[in-house]
Amino acid sequence: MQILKPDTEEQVVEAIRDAKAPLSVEGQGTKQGFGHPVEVDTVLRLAGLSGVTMYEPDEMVFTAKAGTPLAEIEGVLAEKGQCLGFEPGEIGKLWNEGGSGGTIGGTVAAAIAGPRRFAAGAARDHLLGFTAVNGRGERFKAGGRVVKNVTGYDLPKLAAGSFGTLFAITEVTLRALPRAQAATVLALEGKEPAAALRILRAVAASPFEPSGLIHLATGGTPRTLIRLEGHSEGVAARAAELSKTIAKDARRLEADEGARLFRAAADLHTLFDPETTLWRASVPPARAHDMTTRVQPVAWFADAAGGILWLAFRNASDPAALHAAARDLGGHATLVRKGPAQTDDVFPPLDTATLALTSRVKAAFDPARRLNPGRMYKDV
Amino acid sequence: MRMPDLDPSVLARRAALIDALRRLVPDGVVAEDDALVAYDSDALTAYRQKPLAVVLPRSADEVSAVLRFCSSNNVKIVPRGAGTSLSGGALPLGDGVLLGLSRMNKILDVDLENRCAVVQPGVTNLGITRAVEANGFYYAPDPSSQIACTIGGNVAENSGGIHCLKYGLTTNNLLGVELALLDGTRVRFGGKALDAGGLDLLGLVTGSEGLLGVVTEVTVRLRPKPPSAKALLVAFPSIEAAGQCVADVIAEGIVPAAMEIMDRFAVDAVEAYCAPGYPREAAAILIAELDGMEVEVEGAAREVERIARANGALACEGSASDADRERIWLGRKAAFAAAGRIAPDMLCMDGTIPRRALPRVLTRIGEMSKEFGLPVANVFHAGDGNLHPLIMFDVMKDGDLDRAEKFGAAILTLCVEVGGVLTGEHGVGVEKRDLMPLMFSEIDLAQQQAVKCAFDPQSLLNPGKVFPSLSACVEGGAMHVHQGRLPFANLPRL
Repeated sequence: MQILKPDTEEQVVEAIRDAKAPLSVEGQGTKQGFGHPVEVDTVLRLAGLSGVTMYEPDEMVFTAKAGTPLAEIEGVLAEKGQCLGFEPGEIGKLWNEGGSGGTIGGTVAAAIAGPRRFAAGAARDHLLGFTAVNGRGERFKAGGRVVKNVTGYDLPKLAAGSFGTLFAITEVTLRALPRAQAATVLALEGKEPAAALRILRAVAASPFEPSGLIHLATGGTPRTLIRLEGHSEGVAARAAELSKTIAKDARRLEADEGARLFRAAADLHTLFDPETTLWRASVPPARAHDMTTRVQPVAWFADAAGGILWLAFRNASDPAALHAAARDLGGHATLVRKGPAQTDDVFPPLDTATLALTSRVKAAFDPARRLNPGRMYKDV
Repeated sequence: MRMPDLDPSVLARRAALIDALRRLVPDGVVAEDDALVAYDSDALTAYRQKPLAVVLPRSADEVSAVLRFCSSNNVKIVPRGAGTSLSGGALPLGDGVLLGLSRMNKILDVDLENRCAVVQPGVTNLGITRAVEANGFYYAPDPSSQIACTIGGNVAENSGGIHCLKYGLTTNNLLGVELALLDGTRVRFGGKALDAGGLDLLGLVTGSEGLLGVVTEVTVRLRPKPPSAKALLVAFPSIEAAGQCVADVIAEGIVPAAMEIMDRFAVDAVEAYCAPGYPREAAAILIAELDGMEVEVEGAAREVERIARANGALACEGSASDADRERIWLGRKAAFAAAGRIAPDMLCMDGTIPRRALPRVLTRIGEMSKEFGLPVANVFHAGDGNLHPLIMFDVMKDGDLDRAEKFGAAILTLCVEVGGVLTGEHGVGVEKRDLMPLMFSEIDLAQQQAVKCAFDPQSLLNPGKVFPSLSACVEGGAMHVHQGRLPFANLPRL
């Protein structure tokens, strides 16, 4: 296995332009377990492209090279009282316990987001612009550095969640958000799943502006958590109102405990037994309970008031059944951490027309299929 | 504005094509010369062109049938919602079918449990909110044309509005679309779930200006209506002070639902038009709206007032009731109409800039107004740096349109120079098409056009919009650049 470690964008251009065979594109490689293995002899590792190149706290925007560690970004932003609004966790540790936390480019390319995604949007909603090298070895840019921008196609949306299959991202420009002045987590304990999810949906439909709505059924007493963030006065008022109405007898968690639980929900790896197979399902929130009942995970946690489900199984589980269940309920499922030698569909199966279109979009960026071929879909 | 060359073989077959379209969409084809006049422009009225024919389908199946027919007969298609585009996105082509979606105006499903609504593309933006407001919900993006503009058009243009500072653009409020491709096939991206599987094609087609497909169904996210809202009307001695106040509010972590600035010229215009009672002594006014729970709204309003005073505010007035809040907004919402009363014609620019460049850019726009000899009123979504300079001119005066367009191009050039973009919410359309090279290199544009080829290999969907050159798609989805030159290389680049 040959590993190319470019330090500059120019070297990325050369590596791809001169490639004689397909490349596996990665940052630090922490999430290589996510998606189908790319069977190639050469790895293009972008971790050497590292560093925050622009950060304007008053504009709440920064640019970083794709290989910059996620933890470094969080540190730089925290110094100015800011954070990434979509709350990505270090989910690479799902596959490599004790490993590193991954890069900002990998975070974007795998569309990682934590519980605040419910209120603030996903990686796609925070990526303002990027620079990348396509499969023809051409450097190009898309988007910009301002939030409101409709100039040209919205390629940043496409970049988020493309798993390196279209282009090698070399630099990203993202929004930063001010850290909330105050946060309160309300907890309900021991609720039955259906009741817990009903409460979370009621909070989601309320005007109390929750920034995290999760139900943890991952071992021990199930916990239903409602996070409120903002200015202290408002958070206190919203918490008081919620405790009187939708979330009666909710307990207010100590600040540290609330933060720890939400951090765990973003990082994921501490929530699930490393031996389990892990799926992520995205379903209409009101169908979340149907989904868990139908597929019977050993442990699970519902994010976004049930809109996103993380489902753990003791055995390999039946991928076709998982995909079918999610589809029947109006959503889709992705196999995040697979069992050994499992080769079934990881990403949601696409209908013929969408698969054909996906292949054509791939070809628009990478006609010779040099970049992560097959990582998402077999012939894409 | 040069548009793609007319296809003589299409013009020669006009009668036969119209007959065939009438069989596909009975009672839904407009082809009489005088009737076509009604469709000859969108809200960018400086450009006019009658289409070959207008087709008004009633169902997604009819949309597919029309697309399939046009594809096999090599006829261009321009999709259109309500025709409110300010960038000429729905400007017809003389040899193209104008595909109007306004008859597909049914709300198919209101699903409050999943906080979403499924609607046909011709439903108006405001129509969605009207259908759910009794239940305490609304659809957040609110372009100023929301009473007329359609959700299908909003998806195509990724429309914004006053409240996108807090709630995002169309793209941040969509859950799914059904899209008819050029060959008539319909695909679904997303649905009622929070995200779609596979590549984010939903994100890609949103804002693609009708170049990739025709939206036949939309699933939008609904939000609970905030229990209270308050507007602050603040007067500033200078536009710079108003701009600094906006930057300071945001830096403190306060997220108002909206923050709008108007300069004195705009204030005078709206006072003459509808007398909302804005302070006349101010060089600029700021309208900030805060929404949420009452205690929070009041707290944030006090904070904004404190920051405004620290920036030298002359006066700060908070709305005492919903009626009062509407009064404060009245002038801002009437700004375009008011400016329209002062001058016979108007160009509304739409660049977005980093907030801190506001003072510099506004000063320069003032200087350029003198240089070009054309008045300009400034209204803008200050919270997100989205400018709307209104350039006033008289199309009947020799050279005025040309000067206005050059002035507009100079403003947008400046926006790009300070790190901004050509368009924040109105779209590129035909208006800013030839300015695209200011922001993007040839490779950047060729890459975007390769995406176009992936969806529309025949280049029949809304050609002549967005890209300064027409591409011929070649095998593998790439764009063909003839002899190393862009096909429109002889066009002047502004």
